[in-house]
Amino acid sequence: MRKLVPVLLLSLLATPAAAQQINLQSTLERLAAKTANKTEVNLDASMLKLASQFLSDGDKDEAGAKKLVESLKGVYVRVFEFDKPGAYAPGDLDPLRGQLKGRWGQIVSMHEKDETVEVWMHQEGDNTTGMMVISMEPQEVTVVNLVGMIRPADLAALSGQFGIPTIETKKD
Amino acid sequence: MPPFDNDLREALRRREPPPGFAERVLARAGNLGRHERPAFTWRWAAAATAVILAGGSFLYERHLQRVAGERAREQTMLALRLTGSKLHDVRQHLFELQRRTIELPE
Amino acid sequence: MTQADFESILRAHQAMVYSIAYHFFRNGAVAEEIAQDVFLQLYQTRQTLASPAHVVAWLRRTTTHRCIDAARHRSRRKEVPLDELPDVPDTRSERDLLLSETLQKMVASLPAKPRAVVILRYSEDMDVEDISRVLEMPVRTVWTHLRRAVALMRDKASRFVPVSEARRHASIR
Repeated sequence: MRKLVPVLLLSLLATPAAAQQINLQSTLERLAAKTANKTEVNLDASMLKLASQFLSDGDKDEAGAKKLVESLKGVYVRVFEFDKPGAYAPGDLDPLRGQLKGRWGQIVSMHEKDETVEVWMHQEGDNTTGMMVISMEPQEVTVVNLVGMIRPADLAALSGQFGIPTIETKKD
Repeated sequence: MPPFDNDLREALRRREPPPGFAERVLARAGNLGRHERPAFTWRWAAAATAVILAGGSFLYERHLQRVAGERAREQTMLALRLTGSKLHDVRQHLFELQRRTIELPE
Repeated sequence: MTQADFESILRAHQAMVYSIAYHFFRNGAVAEEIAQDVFLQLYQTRQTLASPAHVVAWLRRTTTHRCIDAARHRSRRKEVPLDELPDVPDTRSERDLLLSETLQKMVASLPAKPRAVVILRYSEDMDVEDISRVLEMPVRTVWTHLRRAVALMRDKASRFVPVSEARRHASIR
């Protein structure tokens, strides 16, 4: 309970000012109730600015991260880990999807082996101003909400960088 | 044991240090009393303690900010790595779909 | 600890200490620097270690913590230098060699603590409880780091096809 109090306070204080920041606390309550094993990241604009000061220009990944967070106003992550498959239901994420429908566009829904990944984007005119990635595996659910300007080059950097070496795949 | 665990064990198997490693260590150990200073960590620990005692609350505030900044940095990298990993999976999946689409017979 | 004791410990465990540092950074020069510092620390502090098991535990703990600290300060963590040739003639297939190299790179690019967990588990064959003592982190956290890192690497490795095999595949009509 003690651990929940600061999280609840944070969620009350951090009421989303814009549509592109979703309240993960309330929309993921069902999932949160089913496991004690959670990872949470809440970085608003001021924390991202602070992080930026500590990201190294000499490290390729950190320099890339520094560039990416320049235009971001928030990064919010929730990871829920479950002891066994079947501990949660895909419907537990419906409150979150309900917040996204109408105002966000789902650009990808991928189902492969045991993993389902959904990518949602929030557009303002020609600009992408928010991204939500929802990943469901048998024993783990990951939700990432990026708030702020996201450029195509940022997406390419995200999917090809940050400690994940590119591996040759079968080519024609 | 799962095959992938075997692959990891194989990849991370013990490596011998370069020839002469032990001799170089012994040579440095032998020189220690004469030329070298005490261990790096002790020297820095002593210096840091002296500075902190002399600096008072200003330095403490800076220290707190550094701790907060490092944590923010770690969390930023964690978040971006998680996002990157999932987007990478999607990209690979789309690439496979496209490849299979190209190969479909007419 | 006498000089003879120290030399005996050094020769018995140099590969273990060097290996942990090497797999952490995939850099022979950095690995040697860290390994030398670990043994010199042992020498300087004149550790009185009760048994051979204590020696191994102390060396692993000290090496791992130095690697984690060094990773935080090094700016070139992700730059993998030209690797040296294997110590012994390697008769594994091309695929296995390339897979090993890819796995080593993946491990070396993990964040510091998960990297340490994976190396201690798969290179040093330590169990999770021992790893938690070395890294001074809860057992559950060790499990989380291990599971996540291995799942990620397994997934990436499952799509691995060596370049030469990919080209051979591409030429088939």
